[in-house]
Amino acid sequence: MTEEIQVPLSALEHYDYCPRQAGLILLESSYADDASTVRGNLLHQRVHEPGEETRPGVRVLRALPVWHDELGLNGVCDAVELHDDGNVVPIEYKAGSYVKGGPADVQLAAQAICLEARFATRIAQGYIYSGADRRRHAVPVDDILRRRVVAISEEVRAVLTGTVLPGPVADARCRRCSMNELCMPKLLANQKRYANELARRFRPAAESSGDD
Amino acid sequence: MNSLVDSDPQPKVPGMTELLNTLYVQTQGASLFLEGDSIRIVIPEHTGRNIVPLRRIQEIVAFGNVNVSNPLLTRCAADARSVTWMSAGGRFLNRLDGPTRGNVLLRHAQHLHHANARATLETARGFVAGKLQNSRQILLKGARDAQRGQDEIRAKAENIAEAIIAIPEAGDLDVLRGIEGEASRRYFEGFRFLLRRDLDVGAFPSRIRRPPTDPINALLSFFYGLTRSIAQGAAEQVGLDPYIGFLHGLRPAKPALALDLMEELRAPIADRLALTLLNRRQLTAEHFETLPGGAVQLTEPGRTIALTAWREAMTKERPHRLHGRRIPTALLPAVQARILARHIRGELPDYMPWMI
Repeated sequence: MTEEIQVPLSALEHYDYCPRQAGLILLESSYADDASTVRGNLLHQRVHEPGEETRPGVRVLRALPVWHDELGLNGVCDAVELHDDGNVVPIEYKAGSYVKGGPADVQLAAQAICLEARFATRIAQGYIYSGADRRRHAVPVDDILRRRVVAISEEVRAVLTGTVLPGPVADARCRRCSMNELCMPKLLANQKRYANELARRFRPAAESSGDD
Repeated sequence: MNSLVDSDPQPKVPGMTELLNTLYVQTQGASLFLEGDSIRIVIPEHTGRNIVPLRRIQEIVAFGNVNVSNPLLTRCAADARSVTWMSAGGRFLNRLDGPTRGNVLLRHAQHLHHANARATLETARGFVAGKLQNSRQILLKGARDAQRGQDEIRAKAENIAEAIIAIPEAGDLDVLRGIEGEASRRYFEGFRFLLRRDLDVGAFPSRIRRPPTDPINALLSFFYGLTRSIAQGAAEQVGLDPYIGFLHGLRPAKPALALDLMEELRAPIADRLALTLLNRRQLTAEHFETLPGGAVQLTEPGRTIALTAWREAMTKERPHRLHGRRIPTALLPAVQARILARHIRGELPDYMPWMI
């Protein structure tokens, strides 16, 4: 019997940002840090102390494991607020600034879907906490976003089931990507140039005038 | 955790990993300990505190009788910071690198690639091409600067040019290795003329290893040991198995892929540096010692000079045509290992060596 391939919640965000970035992480166990990912790690170190705290009317659970059997999702929520009125509110921490409708929304909505299954409730809204402006940004978990979660989950599972990396996007995203060096998007996207270079291998090169 | 956002006031250069330091320890009897997030270096008969913060150190290279404490080794393994041991003479002994990287699909592809004789031959051609192209350039540059033997050097460079053209026609690995061996002999015949005549270290007979019996070979072997260490580190860093090579055959305890990857680096990095240090007389006969039995190695002051020059050479940026930018020498092997990995995973049609 083969086990169902589980999709990590964080992979949904990676895939939505760039399918190849998700592929490099999932299939090649690659990861590269840069200033912004290190900042993210530091933020999550603080957030990911499992435990709970209580404010009047609210219990806050930190680093809460969640999953969804039907969609085959699992992961950890940074923080989940359990309000006395029954509302369950996920909060995802991001070190950078918030982009409305961006990949973080998908991750948050996936968390909401998992929490709905765990707590037998309906979640209308969650928040992304942005470290850049130190503010919460409300994310409505609407039907369009829910469908996006389901579609991306299936795409990520297809990558995980296979062995082939998604191709490089080689666009503006790459400039800021910490995995640029592992991915080599420009080099891979311009295969004609690579072929030209290959042809040079077996031709004695012109005398180099450089300083070696 | 995503790279989507970046409020870094100083945008980083895309794709440029920070070049951290390598800590070379060559004082015999030195001991390294973990102290908090730092390395404490204790040298017998030296009082005073020697503390180096771990976060600035990418790897530790220890020569000869150097002790590294278990807590420090464990910490280095956990942080993916390698520790390499070399003999006092600079021969590679072993390397600790923590758990094997988890890139199982790449390693599996590497084994399949190796099992395919045709794929292995095609990839091996790339390593030989890189080696011969770069060796030839070193000869041509040397011919411009040489005091003597310019015609001889150019003749050897021409022999290598012919060998480069013959690479695609080699029908199997043995023929390819024959081309490489012959060209390598020609190269060292030319190399002899790149050394100033009035050096006091003696003549360069031919390439002699295991062990070297003259100062020039001793220096070459020393730098080849260091080159191998960066090539092997690059293979491991990228997730390739350093023992599954293509040009170099599989033998127990032989890191064939590391040897493959270092071929294109030998002449421009190790040989050039040896030439410079000898011709500028920064290293002279007094920096070498002959051991009982005839093996020659660097003395400790000689090693200090060689290592200082090596570290400086590692930070020197060199043009990389495929990437269209300059890359610090120390990072070149990793860049090439990544190109190889992408080739092995089927994303690039063939291996393109770094050509100076």
